[in-house]
Amino acid sequence: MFIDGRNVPDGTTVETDLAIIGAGAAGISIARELAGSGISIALIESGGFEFDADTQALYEGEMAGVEYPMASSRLRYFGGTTNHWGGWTRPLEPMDFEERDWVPHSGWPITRALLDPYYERAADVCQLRSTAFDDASAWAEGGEPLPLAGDEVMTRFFIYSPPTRFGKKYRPDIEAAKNVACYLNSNVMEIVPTENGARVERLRLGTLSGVRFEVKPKVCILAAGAIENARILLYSNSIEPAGLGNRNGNVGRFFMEHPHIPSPATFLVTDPEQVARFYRTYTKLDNSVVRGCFLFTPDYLRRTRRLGTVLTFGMSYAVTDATGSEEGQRDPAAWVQPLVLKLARDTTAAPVAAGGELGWRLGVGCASEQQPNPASRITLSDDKDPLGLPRTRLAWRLRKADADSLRGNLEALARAFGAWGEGRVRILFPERDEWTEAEGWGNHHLGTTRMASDPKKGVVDADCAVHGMSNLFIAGSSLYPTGGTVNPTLTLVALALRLADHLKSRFEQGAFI
Amino acid sequence: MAKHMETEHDDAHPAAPHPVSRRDVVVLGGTALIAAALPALLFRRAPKSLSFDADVLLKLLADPEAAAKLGEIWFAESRPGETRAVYETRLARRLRAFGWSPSATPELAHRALAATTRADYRTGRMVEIEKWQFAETEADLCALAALVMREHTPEA
Repeated sequence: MFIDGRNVPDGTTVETDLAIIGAGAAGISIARELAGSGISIALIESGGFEFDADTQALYEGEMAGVEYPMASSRLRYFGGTTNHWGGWTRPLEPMDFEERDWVPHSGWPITRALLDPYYERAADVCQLRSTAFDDASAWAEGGEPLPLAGDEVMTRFFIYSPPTRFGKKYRPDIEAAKNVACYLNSNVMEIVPTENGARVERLRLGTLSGVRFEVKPKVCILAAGAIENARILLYSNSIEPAGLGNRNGNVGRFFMEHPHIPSPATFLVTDPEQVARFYRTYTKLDNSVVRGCFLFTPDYLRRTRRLGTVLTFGMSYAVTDATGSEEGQRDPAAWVQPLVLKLARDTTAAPVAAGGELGWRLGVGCASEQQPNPASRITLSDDKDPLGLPRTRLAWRLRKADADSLRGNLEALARAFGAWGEGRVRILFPERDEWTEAEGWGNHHLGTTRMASDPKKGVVDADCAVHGMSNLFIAGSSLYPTGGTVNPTLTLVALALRLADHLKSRFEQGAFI
Repeated sequence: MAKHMETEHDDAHPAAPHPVSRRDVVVLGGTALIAAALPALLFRRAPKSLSFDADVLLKLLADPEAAAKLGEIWFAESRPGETRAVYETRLARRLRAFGWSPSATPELAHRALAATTRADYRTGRMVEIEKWQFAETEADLCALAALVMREHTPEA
């Protein structure tokens, strides 16, 4: 059932078992899982069914660190940011969950193995037809992985969701669920706790049209995205002056992204036939759409004490002696490419066939992991939005270590290509003393309410419950203590399904009566 | 760790000269005599023997001119040194470790070159030229090609 908050009588109080704040990938996944469970649910969404500029403008905020498109990287209506999701899915690596002594603040309180069954279910939710993320033999029709030398680089796979627009795809499910009432155009203006701050007592809601009403839940899940989750906790400060869940000052800290470098390197290969179809673009294979990528092996990352990077191939063209003049305008250094290929063919590669091409140039794109950084954070701005709520102030900070890691990983790639013999790598990402501007990002908002067993080190525990509060839970990528390198949606859906199971079982046990 | 502790308690500075024994004096004396004679020998024979090595090495390249262009970029970017003999001896030493000799067949020579180059990449012995990552062996070949090319190019 859908209810437009603008039509709710002013001053209404709605009592419910569970309130879910945010109808994006996480919120909708949880509501669907609990549909028909007998648990009454209020699913609260700031927007309507379509994009609305005034609602979207509630995302506007203030920037204090690396420039970031805080408003345009998210969408504030039913379905949330999945409304512009690119559909890239891949689980985090097992190592991403581990404490790595060279990555400060790393380590999840759960393991990848614990999440594996939920990844399977998340794959269904995201409409994947395969979960062969690591198995090249499943995609053999598209070719063979490049036989790069050494043990530092590995070929793995992204599998594309159609992409699932959660708002469109699952709207009928929410509509049909008798135990779910979805309040549209309704903004949470405060999560109000009990006097001792130990429980959520009620939610104050408001619409841009001026209606004010309340929801009194037994349990509340905050699932509004990594930026908004922190903002809502911080401005819910009428009882707890520092904001909810923030007695240890962790709310809003450790904001992470995946810095995307559009052109960190260029590859040359002697024979394009060796570059399997699945590397080059979105490739339809066996009813799925997949893409091969390069990741770095756990042994390599441990040995070199680096963060992860994922690389995919971009645009390509044949290299001939005329490449310099043909490509000169786009790349003034293109004239060097035939020289490089000739040298490679003299040293390690097969000689060029008579009248054959010297080789091919392939572009590369990458996304990289950033170190969790407490100074990379969300706080509240002095500026207010039209609801009178403090806007977000985001200080995204990258570190030299993040840049060093990426550069080192590119050098590892150059080693792997060179020792293979049929390829060479040009590294365009420079060594840096500091990293103050981002060339790109993934619209991946991570961290800000991180998971940790120790309340001093995080905002929620391994069950996604806010430390020190008995009935407030968090869903979404704000939970990630570290971000890995790959797109976060599949993982956040897996975590949401796990939370749904947990709450279902707790409700069945009568834990929230 | 134990060795490190030993060093910390040792008065000897790492750069301090070692004590010289009577036997060392004899050996060093002989070496000095040979060293004194060497420049004259090299001067008499160097141009021919060095150019012989360069020719043999550059025969490994199908397009030495292309390699020379890369070598010139390297010189301009990184100033790695421009003494031909340095490159010749270094290349010869590396290639010999993989079975090469000046009289090696072209097949054997190329196998040795490929093995040397791959070993460089594997162990991270790389050089950056115009942001391209090359094996040190490749860069040295490029440098050598550039130096030989200069000798064959009349000065303007």
